[in-house]
Amino acid sequence: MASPAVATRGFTILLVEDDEDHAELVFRCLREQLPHAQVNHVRDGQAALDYLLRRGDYEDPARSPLPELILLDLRLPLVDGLSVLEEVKRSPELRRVPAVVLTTSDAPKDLQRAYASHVNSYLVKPMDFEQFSRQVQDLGLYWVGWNRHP
Amino acid sequence: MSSGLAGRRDDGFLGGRLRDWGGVATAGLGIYCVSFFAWTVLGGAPGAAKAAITDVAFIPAGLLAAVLAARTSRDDHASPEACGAWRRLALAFLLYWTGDLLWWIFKVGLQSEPFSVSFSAATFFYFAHYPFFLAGLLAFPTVLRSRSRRLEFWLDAATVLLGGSMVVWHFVLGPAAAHSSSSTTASLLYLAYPVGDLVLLLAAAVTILSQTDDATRRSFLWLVGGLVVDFVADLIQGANALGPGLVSGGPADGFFMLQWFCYGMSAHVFQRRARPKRAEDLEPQLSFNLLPYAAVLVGYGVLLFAVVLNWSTTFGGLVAWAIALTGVVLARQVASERENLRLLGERAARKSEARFRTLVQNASDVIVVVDAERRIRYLTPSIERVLGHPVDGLLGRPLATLIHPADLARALGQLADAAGRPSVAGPAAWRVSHRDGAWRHVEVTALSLLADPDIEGIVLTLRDVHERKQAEAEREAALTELKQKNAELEQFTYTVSHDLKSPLVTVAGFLGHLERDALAGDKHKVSEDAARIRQAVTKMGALLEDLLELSRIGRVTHPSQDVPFADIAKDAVELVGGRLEQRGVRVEIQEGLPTVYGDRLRLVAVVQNLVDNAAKFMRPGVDPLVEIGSRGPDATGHTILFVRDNGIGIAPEFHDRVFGLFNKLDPQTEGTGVGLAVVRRIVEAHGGRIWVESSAGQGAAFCFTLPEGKGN
Repeated sequence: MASPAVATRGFTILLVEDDEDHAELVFRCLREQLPHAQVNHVRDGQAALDYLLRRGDYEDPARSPLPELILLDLRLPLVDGLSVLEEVKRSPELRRVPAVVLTTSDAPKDLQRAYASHVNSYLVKPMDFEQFSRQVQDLGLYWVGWNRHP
Repeated sequence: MSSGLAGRRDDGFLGGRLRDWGGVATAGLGIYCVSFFAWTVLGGAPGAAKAAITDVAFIPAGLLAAVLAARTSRDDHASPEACGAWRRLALAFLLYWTGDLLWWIFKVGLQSEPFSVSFSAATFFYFAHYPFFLAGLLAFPTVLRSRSRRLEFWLDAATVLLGGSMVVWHFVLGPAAAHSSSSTTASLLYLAYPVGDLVLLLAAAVTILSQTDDATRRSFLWLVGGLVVDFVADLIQGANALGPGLVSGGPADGFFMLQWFCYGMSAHVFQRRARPKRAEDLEPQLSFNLLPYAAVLVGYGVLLFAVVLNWSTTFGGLVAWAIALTGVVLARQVASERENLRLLGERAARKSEARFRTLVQNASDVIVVVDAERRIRYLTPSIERVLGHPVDGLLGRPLATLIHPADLARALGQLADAAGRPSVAGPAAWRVSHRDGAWRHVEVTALSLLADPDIEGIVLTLRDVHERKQAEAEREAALTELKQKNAELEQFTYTVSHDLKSPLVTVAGFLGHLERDALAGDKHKVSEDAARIRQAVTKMGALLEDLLELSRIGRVTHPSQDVPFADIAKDAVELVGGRLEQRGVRVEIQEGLPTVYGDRLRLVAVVQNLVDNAAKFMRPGVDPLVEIGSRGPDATGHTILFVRDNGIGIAPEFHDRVFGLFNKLDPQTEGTGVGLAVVRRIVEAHGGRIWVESSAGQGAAFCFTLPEGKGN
């Protein structure tokens, strides 16, 4: 079961996902698991970079607190997920933030490219409610609960 | 029978043996004859014993010579003509030998005097050998091939006959006959032998002059030697017969014996060494045969001699003038003969050149000769067929004017390379200009004949490979297109499967929530979840519809026609009318739009899509305006059509992605993202191109080209 620390700790997650429905699914699961987590949602790669680099609409740091976990979909409009990943891992500050790819694509080349850019983890959204819920829960448990962060 | 110049064929045990002992036999014959000759000349006065030995001595010698000649006639190396000739010579020797044999039989066996004036059997055979000998000599591949040459020969032979007999009679046989008052028949008989030898000499001379091979010549020289010896022997014999009387064992017999050695040697040398050319290979030897002229001179010399000895003014004067007259005629003959020879030479040269010319002119490849400065000195007429240029137009021009500029450096390099070595440089591929301006691919080989005084240039052979190159290029293009299509297909499959998965994830996820919420009795949430599921299903349906539409674009379902673009624009705007009104979008269709040629329905779909798109990306604070128009021709001469809006525009880095499958630049907008991909497919299927001109915030113009219709 979840460790007590998880249930009460505040935690900032950045969710980069263009599909509204998928985002909603993730929200619901995370809310159950991590009620005190703050999940910020951006809908495309450009917005994700603006947020992380604190520019454009997201210049105000209050609007864009540095997340402790980035959940990244790959197929995004404007700037795609892998490019965002590369940017993040290139920056000395941002690369310390765990980046987890959460995508429908199980194509080997996406997997290769993601790991080539030092992704922390790669998850494929299952087409089953139970599994999906479980996945997100475990996700939260692991990265928020177990994982140590500098 | 002959196997040419290949190795000797093994012709069996006996044949092999015969071949081997030839040299030994000839050497033996030589020793035999030479010692006999020495004996007759130096070994004391003729006596009965000497006579007896002499008569029998001829038997083995003559037979051996005949056998050697027969052996030569069976040689594999010689041509059929030479073999035939030696067969006749062998027969001639055999006939002569038969004469000797009969002489011996008559003299020793029958104890009669065979050399009675009456025609005896031996004499018949002696005479018989002449025609066969002559036939043999003339049967060698010589130049008596044309009728005129044959006529010339026989006339020359007659000259030699007449002149020779004059000399022989006057100086040798005449005096001898006068002294012993022999009968006319006898005199004629003994005149016939040496004169016959002279005719044979003429034939031999003609034959030698036509042989170009040293070894063959040597064989014939032995034959000539034998004939000369025979001539001398016949002279002596004749003088003796008509004069003091025949004597066996004298010098004449020594000479007769020598002749056998010479004939045997000739046969052996021919067989061993001679490689006479075949009749077809021999070129007519245009040389001057002096023997007939010598005969004439000698004959007249004799006449003059006799006249001077018995001078009488009238007669003498007449004869002298006759000689002078003949001299002039002879000189004229010589002159015309010389001229004849020259003309024949010219004709032969011209014939060979004509042959060369015909072959070269009619070759299908183009042959070009350039000089050291790379100017064209010679062209075959085939240039007209291959490149359309007439020959005169190009002579003297630099070769560089024909060559494509991109290939020029390489071409000149090839020429330089060819000039530097004796072998062929190439083949290399150039482009050369056709008269109509197009470039044709040719394959070129170059050979330098700069050092050859007849050519003094570099010979180039050009082969038209244009069709081949074109076929190759087409194949390459087809291959590339195929690879491209395959890559597209792969990408397409990947994209499609991925984008159909997303809605399924949504459906599965919300089904789970739906179940939970239903069990918990939360009606509000249940409807929410159901709505999301419904949406996802609709999205999938729309995606599949668009995909089907996209694949349908590939197949032509409607025939193409000429349609004014203005009509297409109007139809499209009507179809999108609802949404346009909703958003207050104004559409302007320009005047003077061209007529295009294509599938009307599909083209309407193109404009519809573009206008629809434009209507979606409006800029806040600006009255949305969509213009449909055309502008001036592009680089390839096509009119450019466009659908322009004043909306939010598209940043340059996204211009390519815009047409990609499922690439939506703004996820908030409706639609599946397939629209522009469909538009591009349709435009490209018509053979046109489509692109976007825009920058962020400046609106966007989607520009495309279509085939022109009639009626513009």
